Amino acid sequence: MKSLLLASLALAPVAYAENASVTEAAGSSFHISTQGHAMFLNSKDAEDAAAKTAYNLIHENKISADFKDVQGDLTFSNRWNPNGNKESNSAFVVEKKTLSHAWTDGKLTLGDSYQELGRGIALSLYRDTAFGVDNTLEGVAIKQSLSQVTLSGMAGRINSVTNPVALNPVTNPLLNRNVWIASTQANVKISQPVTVGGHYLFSANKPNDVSVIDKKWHTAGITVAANGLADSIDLYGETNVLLTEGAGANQLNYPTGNGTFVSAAWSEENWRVKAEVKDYRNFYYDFRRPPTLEDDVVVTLNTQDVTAARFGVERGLGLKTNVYASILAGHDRVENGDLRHAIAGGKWLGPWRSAFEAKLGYRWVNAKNNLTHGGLKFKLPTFKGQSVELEYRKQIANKNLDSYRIIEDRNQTTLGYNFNEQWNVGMGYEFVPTNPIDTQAHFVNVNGTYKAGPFITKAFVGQTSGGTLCSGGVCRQVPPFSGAYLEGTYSF
Amino acid sequence: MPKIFLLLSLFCAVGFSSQVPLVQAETSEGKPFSLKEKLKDGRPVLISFWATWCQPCLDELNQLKTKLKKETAGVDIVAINVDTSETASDVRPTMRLHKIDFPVILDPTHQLFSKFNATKAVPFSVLVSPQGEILETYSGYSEEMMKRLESYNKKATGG
Repeated sequence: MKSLLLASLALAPVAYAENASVTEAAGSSFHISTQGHAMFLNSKDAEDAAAKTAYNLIHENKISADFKDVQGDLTFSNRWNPNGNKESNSAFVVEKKTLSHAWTDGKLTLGDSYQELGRGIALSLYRDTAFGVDNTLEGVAIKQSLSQVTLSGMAGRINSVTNPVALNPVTNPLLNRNVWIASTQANVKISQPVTVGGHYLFSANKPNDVSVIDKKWHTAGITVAANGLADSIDLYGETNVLLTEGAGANQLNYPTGNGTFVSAAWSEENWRVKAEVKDYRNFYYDFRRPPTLEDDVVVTLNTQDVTAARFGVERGLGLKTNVYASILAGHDRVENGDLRHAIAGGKWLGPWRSAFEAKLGYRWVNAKNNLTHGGLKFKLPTFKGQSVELEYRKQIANKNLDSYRIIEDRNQTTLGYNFNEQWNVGMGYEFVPTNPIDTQAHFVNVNGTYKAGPFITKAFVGQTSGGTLCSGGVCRQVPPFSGAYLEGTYSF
Repeated sequence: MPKIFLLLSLFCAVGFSSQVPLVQAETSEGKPFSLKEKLKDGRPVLISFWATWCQPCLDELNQLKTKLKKETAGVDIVAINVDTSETASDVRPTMRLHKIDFPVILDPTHQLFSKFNATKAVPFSVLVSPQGEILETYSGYSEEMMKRLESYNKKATGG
C-alpha cells in the first residue's frame, strides 16, 4: 500500500505538468475547479443599543468537475454562528448539486439548474448574491434545437435556499412548503429576425404540515421577438395567463391572472429611444422576476397588480458623454393610485480627464407618497493608474400622505481612492436627519479592497443607514448595519 | 488513513487546475456557441461578462473592440451579457450603439456567470488558454488586461 501511495504522490506533479501542456481543447480530460466566497461578520443591531454583538463565519464553495461534455457541480456551505441564531449554525450543508451533459444542439441537466420562461413574468428561478436569493429547479431539464425550432422541458421541485454569504438575506419564499413544477417551451424562428415562442407551466403547492397539495397553478404564455428590424428596431412582446385553483380542502376561487409586457427600442448612431409597457393583473405567484420598469431607487413590492408605461430617450454626445430622460406613468392597483416617475441625467468629460455624472428624478403616487432623488458622481485621475472618486446621493421621501405622514431624508457621501488595480480604499458618510431621536442620524464607515489573481478581499468597518439597496434591477429595503466584515472570494 | 492520502494524491493526479468550466450556449443571434469548439482555433479566448447598466463594462468592450481588430487579433472574445429581465430590452440597442460585433451570449439567470464569479460583480473577465486553462481573471476594468491582450496581438502579427 505504501509503495502505491508513494507512486501516486510522485505521479501527481508529473500529471499536473502534463495537464498544463495538453494541446487538445478544453474538456478533453478530467478537470476539477473550485470557487468560493467567505465572510467573517461581527455586527450589532444599529437600532437596538442593548443588542448583543453577533459573530458569523460563513463560507460557500462550488466544486465543478468535468469530463468531455459532462459536468458536475456541487455547492456547499459552512456556517458558524456562535452566539446568534442556532439554526444558521451548520458545519456542512449541501445546497445545490448538478450533473449536465451538453451536445452540439442540446443539453440535459439533472439536479439544480436556474430557469426562466420569457422575461420572468411566468417563472424565474435565479440567484442573487446581494440578497441571498438562490432558487433553482431541482429535477430534470432538457433543451434541444432542431433547425428552426428549439424545444425545452423541465420538471422537478423548486429548491429555494437563502444563500448564506449575503449581508442582506431576504426571507425564503419556500419556508414551510414544497412547490413542484413542470413546464414545456417551444421557440420557432419564423424568419431571420422574428422568433415566436410558447410556454406552459404547471405548479403545485404543498404545505409541509399537511399531506396533500392545496393549490395548483397553470400558466400559459406566448412570446414574440423581432430583433434588428431595418437594422435599428428591436421588438419584444409577451403575454401570460395564470389560472389558480384550490385543491384538497382548499376550495377557494382565485381570479384569473394576466401578465403582459411589450417593449420597442430604436437605436441608431447616437440615439436610443425605448418604449415599454407592463400590465400585470392578479398575477400572484412567488417565483417570478418580471420587468418592473422602475428606476434603481424604488423598492418595487407590487409586480402582481399594476399597469404602467415608460418612455425613454438617450442621446450620445461623444466619448463617455450623453444625456437622457425618461417618464413612467401608470396605475398601481394595490396602492390604488396613479403613479408617475420622471428622470433626467447625463455624463460629461471634464478637464484633466475627469468624468462627471448627474441624475435627478421625482416619483409620486397621487395623494399617497412621493420621492425626490438625485445623485452626483465625480472621478478624477491623479497619478499614473490612480484615481479619486466622489459620490453624493440624496433622497427625500414623503410617505403616507393620506394618513400619518412620514418624511425620510437620506444623504450619502462616498469617497474612494484607487491606488492601482489591486488596491482601493474608501470611506462613507451617511446622514439621516429624519431618523427618530433615539436612533443615530450619522453613519460612518471605511472599507478597502485588495485583488490578487484569483483572490479578492474586502474589509469593511463602521455603519450604514440601510434604506433602499438595488441589485440586478430589483430593489429591497435593508436594515441599518453596524459592525465589521471581512469578505473573500477565490477560484482555482 | 492511507486510503485518504491515496484518494488525495489521485485527486491531485487528475489535475486540480484552473480549468475553464464548459460553456455551451446560444448567441444573441441564435447561433450555437461552444467554448470547446472555439478553443480549437488555437487562440486564447477572453470571456468578458458585462451588463448594459455597467459603464466600466461598456468602456472595456469599446477598448476591446478597438484593440482587437479581427484580422490582427491574437485573442478571440466572447462577451456574456448578464442583464436580467429588468433591462433585457436594452441589450441589443446597446450592442448596436457600441457596435459590438463579437459573439454575445445572453445569461439572464446567471447560469454561466455563477460558474465563474462568486460575487457576480461586473466587469469580470477570464482569459483562457487554447488548452482550456484559466490564465487570469480580471475583476473591474483592467489596463493590465489590455496590455496583455496587446502582447498577444503582437505575437499574432509577428511584431
